Amino acid sequence: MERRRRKCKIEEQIQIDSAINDNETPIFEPDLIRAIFKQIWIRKAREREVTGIQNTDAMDSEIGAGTSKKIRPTFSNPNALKLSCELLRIFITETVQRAATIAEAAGDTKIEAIHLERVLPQLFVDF
Amino acid sequence: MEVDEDNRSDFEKEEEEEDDSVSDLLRDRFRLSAISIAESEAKRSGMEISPPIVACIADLAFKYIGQLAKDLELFAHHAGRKSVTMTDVIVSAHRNEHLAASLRSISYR
Repeated sequence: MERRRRKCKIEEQIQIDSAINDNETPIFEPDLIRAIFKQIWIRKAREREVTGIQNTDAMDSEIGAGTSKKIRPTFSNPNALKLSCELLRIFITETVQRAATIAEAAGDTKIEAIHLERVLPQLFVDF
Repeated sequence: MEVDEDNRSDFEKEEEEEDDSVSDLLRDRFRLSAISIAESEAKRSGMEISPPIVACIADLAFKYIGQLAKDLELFAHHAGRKSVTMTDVIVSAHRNEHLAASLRSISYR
């Protein structure tokens, strides 16, 4: 019963969020997130290639038997990208909401550094 | 052997510089989006938010996306895949039940 109620609440919030999204709330562009991911993955692939070249001199090729010689970078599918955009947006909105709660409790109307500091520990645990 | 290493490091240096300028551009665009999302959310909560704090949150988000990219790649490779799927994104949110649940329901749409 409790779980169902919680689930309903989450679904409600998502509907509200998507309604707002359709109208005014800014979101992250999937293309931007894809470009950032791609850049990080290409860099990682290059690093792996370099360490691969350095390792083959020292180690047996047994270890490299299962992997392909050419290291291709990872890529993501469009739905995963959209979900990642949503995840990032939630990260920011959660941070702001939590900091706003702290600011409100302190009686301020402006979110300042001290409010942000208070939310950081729980933020790092949750994300 | 040494000559080859020198040539490669020059090429690598060039690539790195180009990489850096691309990454700067991406980071700036990301920051702009992050700032507008944060400000819109602050308005929704009925609060003002000071500019350095918004910039701080944008930087935090940029660090987070770096971590997210690494995690997603690890999950995909661990599952023997070359491409990242929605399941990977949902798994990366495993630390927070509510977050994972809401991502899951978004993914069903």
